[in-house]
Amino acid sequence: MSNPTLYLSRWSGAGRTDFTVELDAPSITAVPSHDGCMLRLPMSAKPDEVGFGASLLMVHGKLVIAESAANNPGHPCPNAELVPQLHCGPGSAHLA
Amino acid sequence: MQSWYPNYTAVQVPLTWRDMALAEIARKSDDVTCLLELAAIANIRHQPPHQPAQSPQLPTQAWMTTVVRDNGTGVTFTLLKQHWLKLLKDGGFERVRLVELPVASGAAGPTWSECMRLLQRATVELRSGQSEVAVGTSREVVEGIVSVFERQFGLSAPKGKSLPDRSKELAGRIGSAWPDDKYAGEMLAGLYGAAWSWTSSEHHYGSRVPRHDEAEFAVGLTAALLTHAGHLLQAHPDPIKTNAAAEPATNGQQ
Repeated sequence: MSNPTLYLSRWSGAGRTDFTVELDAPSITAVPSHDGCMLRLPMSAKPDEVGFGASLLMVHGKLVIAESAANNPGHPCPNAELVPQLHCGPGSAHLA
Repeated sequence: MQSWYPNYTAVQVPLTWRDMALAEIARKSDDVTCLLELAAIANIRHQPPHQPAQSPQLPTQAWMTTVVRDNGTGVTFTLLKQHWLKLLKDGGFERVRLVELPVASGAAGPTWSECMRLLQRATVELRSGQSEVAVGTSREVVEGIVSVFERQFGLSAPKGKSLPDRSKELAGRIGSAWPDDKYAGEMLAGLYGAAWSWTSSEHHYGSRVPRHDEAEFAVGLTAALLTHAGHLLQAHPDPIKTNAAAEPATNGQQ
């Protein structure tokens, strides 16, 4: 089974895909938190060029679990920086 | 330009106990269908719209930071049941289980399993904030537990008697049948009476105790009743021997 894939594009991009984000669904994990848990959704983005190249800098979104209502607000995915791990500083503890 | 390291990381989604409980209810014992939508800030190549011939010093390609997003429908994926249950376990959802309930087999096995299933449902309902529903489900467990004992011990269900009366009668029979464990029946009847009263709807009218606290106690009391009942069923697996005199078929009139 292929991994679920999202295609991200500019609003003015006339439908052209700028980035492909592949979710590694079988590798989703959960860790306990004080009042629930934290789901961790591993993903990879292409292109992913370092420096001034084409790359995602930060992603956010929403996740709807087990409910298909169109107006379901889902669970917010807070901003996550998507920089190479080499560049992750101490302040990026929420990253992978 | 190649990455030094794969740009491979993750987004994280905080979930509360309530979120997990609601998802657990919504999946209806099936696989879990999820929908993910993403937007991002990104560096992308930008082609200047028009290069005047008289300004060749301008770059033919530039970079800009902008917003990208999916087409608005996101992507749907499925978490298999086993994967979801592992996520619940790893996320600590199981650690808030009230008790580890004993397993009973024999004649009462199916009824016992149904009681356990209902208690689990009441627990999930309680976690998801459905206090009144949780009390109602606990009531179903309490109503079923007398039948469990009557089936397990091969006792006929007396007609025309209320469940509390049947539980008291059951306690008397247990006390007679197990002289070395004669208080077990009293404990069972006591717990039963408490659970019966606490899960009755009349009890909660006008109460000043917060509804969630009442429901939490009701589910806990029902779990305690099931725990004690399960221990008794495990300790005394054999049917209670009764004779015709001790168990009249009529209302006692000879």
